Amino acid sequence: MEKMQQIVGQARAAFRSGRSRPLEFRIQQLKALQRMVQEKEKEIMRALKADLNKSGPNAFTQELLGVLGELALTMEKLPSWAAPQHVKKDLLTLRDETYISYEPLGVVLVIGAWNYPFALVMNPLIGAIAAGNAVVVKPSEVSENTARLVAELLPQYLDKDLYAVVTGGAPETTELLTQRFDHILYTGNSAVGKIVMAAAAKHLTPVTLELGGKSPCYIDKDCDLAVACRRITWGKYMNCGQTCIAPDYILCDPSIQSKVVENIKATLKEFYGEDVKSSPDYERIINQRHFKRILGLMEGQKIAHGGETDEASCFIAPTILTDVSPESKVMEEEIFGPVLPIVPVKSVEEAIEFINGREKPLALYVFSNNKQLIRRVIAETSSGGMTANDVIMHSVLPELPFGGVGHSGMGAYHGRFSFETFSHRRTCLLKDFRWDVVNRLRYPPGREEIMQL
Amino acid sequence: NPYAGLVSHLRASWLSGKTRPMEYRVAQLEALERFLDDKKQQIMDATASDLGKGPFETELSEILVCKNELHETLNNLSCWMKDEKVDRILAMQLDSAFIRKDPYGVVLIIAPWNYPIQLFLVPLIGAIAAGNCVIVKPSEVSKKTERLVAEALPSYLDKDCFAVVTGGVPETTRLLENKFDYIFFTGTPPVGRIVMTAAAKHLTPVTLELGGKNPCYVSDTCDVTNVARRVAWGRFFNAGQTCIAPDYLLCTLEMQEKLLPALREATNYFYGPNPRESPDFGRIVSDKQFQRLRALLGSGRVAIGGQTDEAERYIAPTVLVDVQPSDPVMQEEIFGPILPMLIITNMDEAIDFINSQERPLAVYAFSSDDKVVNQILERTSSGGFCGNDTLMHVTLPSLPFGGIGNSGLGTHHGKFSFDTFSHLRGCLKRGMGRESLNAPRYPPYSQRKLGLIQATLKVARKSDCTLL
Repeated sequence: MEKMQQIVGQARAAFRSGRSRPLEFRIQQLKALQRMVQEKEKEIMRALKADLNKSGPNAFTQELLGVLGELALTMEKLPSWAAPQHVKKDLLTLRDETYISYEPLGVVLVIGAWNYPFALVMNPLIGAIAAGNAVVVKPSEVSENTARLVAELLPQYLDKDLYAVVTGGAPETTELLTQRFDHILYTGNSAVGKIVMAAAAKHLTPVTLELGGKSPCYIDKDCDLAVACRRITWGKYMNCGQTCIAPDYILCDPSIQSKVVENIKATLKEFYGEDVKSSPDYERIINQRHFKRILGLMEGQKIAHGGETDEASCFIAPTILTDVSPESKVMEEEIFGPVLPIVPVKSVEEAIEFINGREKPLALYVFSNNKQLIRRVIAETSSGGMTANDVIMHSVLPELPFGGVGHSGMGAYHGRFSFETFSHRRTCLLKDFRWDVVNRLRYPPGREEIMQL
Repeated sequence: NPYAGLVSHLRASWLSGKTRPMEYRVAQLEALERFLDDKKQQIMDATASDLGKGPFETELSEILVCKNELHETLNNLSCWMKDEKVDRILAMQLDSAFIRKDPYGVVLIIAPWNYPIQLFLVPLIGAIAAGNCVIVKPSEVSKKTERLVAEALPSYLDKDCFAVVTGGVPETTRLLENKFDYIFFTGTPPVGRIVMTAAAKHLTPVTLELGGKNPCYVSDTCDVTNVARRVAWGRFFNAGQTCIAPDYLLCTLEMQEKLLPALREATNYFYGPNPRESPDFGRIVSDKQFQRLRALLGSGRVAIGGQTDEAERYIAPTVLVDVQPSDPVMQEEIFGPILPMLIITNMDEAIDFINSQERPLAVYAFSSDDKVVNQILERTSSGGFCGNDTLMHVTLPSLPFGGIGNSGLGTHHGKFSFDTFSHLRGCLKRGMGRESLNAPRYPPYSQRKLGLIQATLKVARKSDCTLL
């Protein structure tokens, strides 16, 4: 307990010193982070390989590229994001200065997840630093190699007092959450999200919760099935299905189900070769516990493709399940693995009703040549974000807010949304002493005639 | 669960999609304006009965403010509802990327008693504008207004989508057991914690408009008469029951000596020699609040006012001097017509004191020297800030209104209300063609593919030399 108190206390004292406020300082810290990513690329990739069996190019595209992009964008735009925003005035304030000032919140807590262990700690950290805060980072202990590396590297590159790393599991995180923060960004599952928010409520700490859910993928009969399936295969099986915005399950007409299976099978061969297990580009399940969990989801299901597993290496082959019943276990929880159920639906109406009957997902996907249909699906459903005719890609565009809604989360970040999430928008009105004549109208004693004005 | 039926009825209406079209929302908002016009006299009577609010204050703070929000919203709704197109990276130049404003669903608004119409109606405007269904829980403390809202409001709005729930703590606790898609709460920090804890059980996002002790710094160089007027106006409006009222004053002994006669004069100018007889000075809302405030009069020494009348729940516009930071009047948000003055020797001391307290909803600084005002602004943190005046920063709908830390989270007013009650959904619409452009992202991975991806996905610094 004392250790946590000390770390947070140190960060708060460092924040109070004011040194994280000047833009030059923040940009200098971001530049240092950029150097870190460039200089320690090999070490980072080694940690990702150890944690998730992520291959070099894969690790680079999935984690480092995005982080470098956020860094570049943030350093470029910070002066304009941080500038006071002048607003429209009214008659009473014509002669005054009216603007919104972007100010740091104070000490921010970032809790990372294990599936993209580097990016999910770095991207929020970048935003929190850019907004002028002190930051405590708690990487996921499940991806232990990356956690250890982050704990080693950050103090080597950043201001040690302002930016601290805390490692550990549930007990350490619980302890950390008793401390007072000025914002908490948590990436993980809904159950723990509730615990984080309840802990935050004790201190009235605002939270951003990046959670998950079952992201539906509707495939219309009228679409280029080969292309659709290739894109879906890419998004579903990358990182061995351990992606919060992976297409979780497919909804499609029963008449195209077998074609969907054929197309995905063909694409899988293209991507990973005949023997998936020996492809350097196919990852592994993070640990035994999740391996067993996903195995359980496949029980009793019609396996149209895949299904092979190897416990020792936490390998689960890319798997497709067909004619899946909505009531089955695999349709109850977020799969977070390389298992793709297909639930037959007879129409887009049925698909929309199906989606709306469940918790709001983090992402929603729809494949169709019919623009009207796409528009309709967007208008009649709700989700954190969505992509039509592709998957994952809406999260790649920094101009789009990335976050959930309902059970899939609250708040958003990426790009300027990170900056705004970690900033306080302070309303400022600077008046003159003169012109009290105008003020007199509002003072008592009140008179009817003045009201008519 | 007594409210389960109501909540599920509203949720069914929400899922039917009827609140989505702009025409529907406009119709409901226009009905709200009719409510304000038709029921103006009843609103005046109710707030006069609940808070001793005179017609002038009611007109300004309950009717006009709401109408401004309605007009601002109606004028801009179609613009606010539009999909917001965003800049695209090279790889997405041919795609459509935009932010869709989605309603959350069923919203709960819990309102307090001090501005009993404004503080439910203004958020309600935002929630309706954003396309939600809403349950309004007005405060049971402002009894007459609660009854008026419960009886009259439903006949103006679509009963399938909007409801009023009345009751006290037990009813609100049961109401909070239900799942809402957004909760907007205005009230005190302790209850804010309870609301957020209840919201956490359902992962419901919240906006909490809370309070605190709003400091008011008066420097030695200022126009004393104007300062006294602006501060007295802000403090004594609504008999001090305003979340953004200047809670306490910080100034030097010299300034205090000049301010006291000026404050006396301002109070006299506003309310006459006996404020109890002025139709413009309000009353305390309840016996409980009256007792609480009367006890605070024991802190320091009464320099102006101090008179009370229990039967009327009247507390005179009062200024306390010789107040110490440890006194009872400095331990809680006053929320009454009492202004303690704390002596400091210089601006730095004032800033240190302000920063040693919880972050307030507002910070006020008076000085003819711009540099002083800016110093206070830059070296403190608060929901909002007003230099050389009080309260006015919340009257502009283009400025966000909200707290920080103990004084709250989230904002509203104007477009900020609309945004608060909307889920900003990132949307990307791609085409099925040009699949060859996607090729570099697919396995089997290679350095060559990586180079291609970097070229199309990267966001380059303008200073980098690139073909872009």
